[in-house]
Amino acid sequence: MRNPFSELEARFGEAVQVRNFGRSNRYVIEATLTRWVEVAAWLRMEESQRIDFLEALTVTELKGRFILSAFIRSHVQGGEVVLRTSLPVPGATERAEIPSLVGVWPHAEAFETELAPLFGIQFTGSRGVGGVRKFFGTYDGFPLRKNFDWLEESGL
Amino acid sequence: MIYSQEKLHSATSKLVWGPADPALPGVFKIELETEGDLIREARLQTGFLHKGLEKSIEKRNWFTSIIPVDRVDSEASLAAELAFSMAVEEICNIQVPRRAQTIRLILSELDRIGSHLGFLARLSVVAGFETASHYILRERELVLDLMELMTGRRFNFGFFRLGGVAADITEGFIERIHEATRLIEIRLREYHALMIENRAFVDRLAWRGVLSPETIQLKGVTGPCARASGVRWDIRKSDPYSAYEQFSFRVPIGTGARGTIGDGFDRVIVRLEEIRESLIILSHAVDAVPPGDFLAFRTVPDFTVPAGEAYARVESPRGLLACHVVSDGGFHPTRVQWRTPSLANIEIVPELLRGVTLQDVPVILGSLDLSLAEVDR
Repeated sequence: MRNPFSELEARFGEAVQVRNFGRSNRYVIEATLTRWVEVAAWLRMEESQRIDFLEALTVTELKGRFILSAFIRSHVQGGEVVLRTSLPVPGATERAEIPSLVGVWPHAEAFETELAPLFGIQFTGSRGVGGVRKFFGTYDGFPLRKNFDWLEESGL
Repeated sequence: MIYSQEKLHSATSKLVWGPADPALPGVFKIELETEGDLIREARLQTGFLHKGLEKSIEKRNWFTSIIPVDRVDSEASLAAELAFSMAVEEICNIQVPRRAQTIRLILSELDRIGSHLGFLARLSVVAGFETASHYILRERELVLDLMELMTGRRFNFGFFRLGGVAADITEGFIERIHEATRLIEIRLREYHALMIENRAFVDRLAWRGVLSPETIQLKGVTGPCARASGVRWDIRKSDPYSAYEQFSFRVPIGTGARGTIGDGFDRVIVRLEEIRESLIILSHAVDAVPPGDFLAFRTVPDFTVPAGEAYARVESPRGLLACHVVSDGGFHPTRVQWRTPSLANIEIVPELLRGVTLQDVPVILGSLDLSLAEVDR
């Protein structure tokens, strides 16, 4: 079967890895953190891909790493793929720095403004053009991290 | 003191609205910079309803994790239940019986009708047309009665299970669905006369809050709001699930019937048409429920899900609702994250309100059918 991302692999070399997503017939493109916005921009602009719609941006903390997954699709070509990158989880009070996808898909801002305070992530390079602020309270740490003691924090 | 027209218009002021105000579609704060009654800038703040659902699901076992899933959006909770169930079933490779899939479809469409009727009732109130809401809520009661007959509850149903549904079709349910679909079809014609042919109602919504297809694309707007702007995208058609591929239905889009494509009035028309399509799906589906089991297996409290992940999406009454589930092979979900339609749809509010008058704010917000429960999970 033809690999629809052979051009991508040829262009980005070892900075990307393509594999299957779970049991589904989607592909996952795993990009290094330094090049993930570049890969996103390529998928957005490349005529054979035209990935124009970001469905969701999710963060998972697994085995000491933050895994960011952008579920993206093309309304033009009909294809869909998961773009992924990962980085080590920093110290309990430190923020992880991850390049923002807002420049590629402006709609990423809806997800980034939510994930940033909950996971302690600084999305760098975001223009922050939207007018919706999200405030979830003040915590000693970041509520969605695995090391966050939510029972202690809530006083139960 | 007599002010000149110029002086009145140049007076800028700041208005803070909410977080709790009956004119707003939910609990959020809106800060407006106005010049006279014209809005120059709008900023929103959400988070007042945040429930920490995604965190609390991580603390539950797989068996009980379906309970908080309902709270993603209590008014249309089955969409969240369905997306979560589908994602876990994909990780576990569970084949859902065809009977269960059709029951899920029937309940999902009933849920859609109930949600859309709730939208119409709320909008008619903010549009200064409360009379209509009394009629609309009467039909919504009918839908809730049917849900209660089938699930035992009127909201937060908790009816879908991993591998199927909690119970088989209740005796008399199919007959009552047929009665209800016939009745609501007649009532839709009454709503048409009451609202759509009513100049006062049309004038409050036509040409108001216009959304272009470009904005839809940029901001990730989905569901009836996107379809009202001419974007014909419905997951039930493009990526069918739960037996939708077996039933024929239209995907209505906005036509600019009384104003322009993508205005508030189109968003009403699209939802009215979607109710009509849901009635067609329902009347066919209840006659086509296949024989067999309604549940593939019974989940036990120490049920584990193999290590893996899945992403499932459904067309909720408000748009694309997706669920990303990750399991490390243990008793608890490692991560459950939602993509809810209102999370994206609320992003267009500041842009939509810029340049409109204060009196139009509740109507424009109402026409978007935002669910703050979805935004603040």
